[in-house]
Amino acid sequence: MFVDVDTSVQETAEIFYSLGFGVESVHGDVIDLEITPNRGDALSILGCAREYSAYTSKPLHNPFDKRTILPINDEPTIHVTITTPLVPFYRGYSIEIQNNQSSPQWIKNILKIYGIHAINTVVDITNITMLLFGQPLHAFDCSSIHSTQMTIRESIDDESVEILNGKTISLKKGSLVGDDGTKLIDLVGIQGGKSSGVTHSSKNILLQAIDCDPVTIRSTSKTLSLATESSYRFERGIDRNGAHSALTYALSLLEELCNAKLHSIISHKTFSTRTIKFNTQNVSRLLGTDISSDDCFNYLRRLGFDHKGSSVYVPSWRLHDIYIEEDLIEEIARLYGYNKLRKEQLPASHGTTMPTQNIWDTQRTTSHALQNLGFDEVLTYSFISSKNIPVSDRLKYRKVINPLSEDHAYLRNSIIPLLVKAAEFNIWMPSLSLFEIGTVFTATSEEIKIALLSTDKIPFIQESLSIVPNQLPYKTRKKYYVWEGSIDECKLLIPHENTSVKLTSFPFKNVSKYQPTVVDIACIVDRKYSIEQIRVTLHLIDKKIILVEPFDIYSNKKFGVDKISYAFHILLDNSDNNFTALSLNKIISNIHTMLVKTYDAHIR
Amino acid sequence: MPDTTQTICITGHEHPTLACIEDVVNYFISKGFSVALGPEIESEWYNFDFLRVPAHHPSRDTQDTFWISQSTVLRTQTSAIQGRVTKDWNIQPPLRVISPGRVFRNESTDASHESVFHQLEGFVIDTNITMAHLLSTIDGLLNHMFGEIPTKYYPHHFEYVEPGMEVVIKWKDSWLEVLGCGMIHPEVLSNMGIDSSEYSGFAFGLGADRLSLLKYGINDIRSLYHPDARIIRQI
Repeated sequence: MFVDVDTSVQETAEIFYSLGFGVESVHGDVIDLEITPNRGDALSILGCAREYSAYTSKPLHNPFDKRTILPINDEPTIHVTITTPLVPFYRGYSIEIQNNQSSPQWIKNILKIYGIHAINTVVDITNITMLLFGQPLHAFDCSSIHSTQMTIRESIDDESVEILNGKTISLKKGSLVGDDGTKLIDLVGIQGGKSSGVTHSSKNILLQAIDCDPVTIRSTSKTLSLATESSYRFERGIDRNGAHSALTYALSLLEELCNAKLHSIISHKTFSTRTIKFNTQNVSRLLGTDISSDDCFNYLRRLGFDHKGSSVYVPSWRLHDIYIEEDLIEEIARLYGYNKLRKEQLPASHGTTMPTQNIWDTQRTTSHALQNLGFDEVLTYSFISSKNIPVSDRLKYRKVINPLSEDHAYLRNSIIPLLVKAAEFNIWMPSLSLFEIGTVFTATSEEIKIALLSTDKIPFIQESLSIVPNQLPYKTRKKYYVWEGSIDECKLLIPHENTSVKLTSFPFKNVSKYQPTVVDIACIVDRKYSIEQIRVTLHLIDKKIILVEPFDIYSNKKFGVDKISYAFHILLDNSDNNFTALSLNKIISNIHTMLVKTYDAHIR
Repeated sequence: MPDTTQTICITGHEHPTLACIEDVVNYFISKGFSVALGPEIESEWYNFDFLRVPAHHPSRDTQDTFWISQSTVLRTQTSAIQGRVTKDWNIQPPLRVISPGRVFRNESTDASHESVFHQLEGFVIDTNITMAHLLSTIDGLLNHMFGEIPTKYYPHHFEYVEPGMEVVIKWKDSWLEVLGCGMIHPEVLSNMGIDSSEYSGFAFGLGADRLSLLKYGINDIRSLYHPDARIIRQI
């Protein structure tokens, strides 16, 4: 309606993406855009049309912008008093309607795309106008406004209002309300009051467009956990100058569909303007790309920014996000195209005055030293359950005010319980050595610690604790050796030597949520075959094989001097939890066959 | 010949996320950056207000927050390090800083969202720093991590940068967001006590877990924080 679109749906989506609007989805001819919180002006078809027009240089038409409206009466039929500076703009149309049935299909179809329920023609027109113009509108049934007087004011403590969804809401001080002297009839900017809602039998209505303070609306909406299409737009800022075309459009639809007559206009308004001093030389200072002065002003003009000399006038719909010269430069860059900007390497010379924190280096060196000793590095949650902390100890822990659940209510003061939990999750692993470097918390402080866990005695840490099954507070099924301390302490204890064998890795396989099956196989083969060679063969036998890990090499004169025994743990994925004995036996038999055939192996 | 038994100790595996972080950090150290680590419990000021995310602004909605007290949070982003370095530790430009760390979001988890994850923040402040330097730095990083790969820059809004952008890479036939960045907003420079007429800078942040998922082909971010030997030992 506002601009001729001659690009395909996909091309149009790409245009919006390149202008900074993420494309959430494209279904048929509906493009769902992500509008960042700074761009309240784009929460409407008109706003999107402006962007499209700026990008393509196609003209923008808004036929309702300049249309003059003449009411029948000069005297307002409803009196509106505003006693708060938090509503700086008010425009109301007092309108008589003949009928208010259900809306024509085209309106219902549009509302459906946005997930808005159709109610009756008047209400649907207010919604469709908001979607098109970005201006939230509200319609009251005048017969329910006591003595045709309404005051818009800030609420006081312990007031309540029954809103359209039928809920009665208790308010604290500082929300915006409409009051007819006997009751609250509007939770201004968020949702109308039930008592004054427009119904099928309404004859005289008040159609209002306002602007209100974004912070107040957000604060009320957050406190009440009540977010509406209307509050969403007010929080992000609306265009006061746009109210006229929105009301005019809504009136034209009401005339067409409800035989409406405009009786009077009520108006209270303050407008603000902003000019920004713009030195076009600063464009290359910020972007590193030279864009001529003419081009800069041309891009700005396409976006609705006029200028006189170096003063740039911010259009009314961008007053909520354009404040400084850098903001203007971003607008220029958006139209110029980010992907056309010049690139230049950082100069090598300047360096940094920031000294590197050794703790990072120590962490990584220690991590690699432990990996060389056969320990796997893991990360676990920072949260622990309140169930795992005796009530008497809870003050020693740091609590999260708003946890995901009681199982995540406190911050860990030790990594060990989480390593134990991890080990228990991997209970099927014949042997396990894990460590984590991470932050732990006391009631007042945080520090970085390292924790180790092993199913075997940790040779280099004599004083490691052992946790035996059923020892509180961790009910374990296996015995574990654990230790926790500072990284510096750990660094002193661990030998910096490599006693482990690095295995070649295979393409990664995702695993199922079911426990794997572990099969141990030992075979006697000629010494000329390496254990790694056999491991690779085993790995490739079946796609269910995720890991093959050798665990010992054994020689015995009974085998013969040129023979050796290799033993492996083979992990099979239970992709659908129905590993039958039959399919398992088949894989094992394949393994045996392969070992015998390829390596002339003797299976032990 | 005597009987011998040799138990085999297999080299441990580095956590995929930390392997990615270490790789990126080392890359930036080679470019003259220093490493800074900030606290996980952060003041509301450094985590939000310092970075122009005030309490009553919808931009707060994009980062659901775990609160520890009235004025402290579990940091929602490693960008909080910008304020720690410049104000708390009072280190002034020239600055080239890289900062990895654990961050927290109060949101329900699924295969691509965790309430605990890792980010990497980098920032540079010096005289005459422009977006051209930022673009080249990001190109260099992505090239280092993924090799020659198609990359695009799109405008995006982050309160603490102006202009801001999002970087996408082409990965197995689809475009994926990998990084957010921009020129540090003059008000943030002013919060840092830095004169924006003399100095300028850029900042970038990336989700380290997502990169490790891409790099290794792991399909569920949750498996990174719930250790599973089948996954760890394949890396």
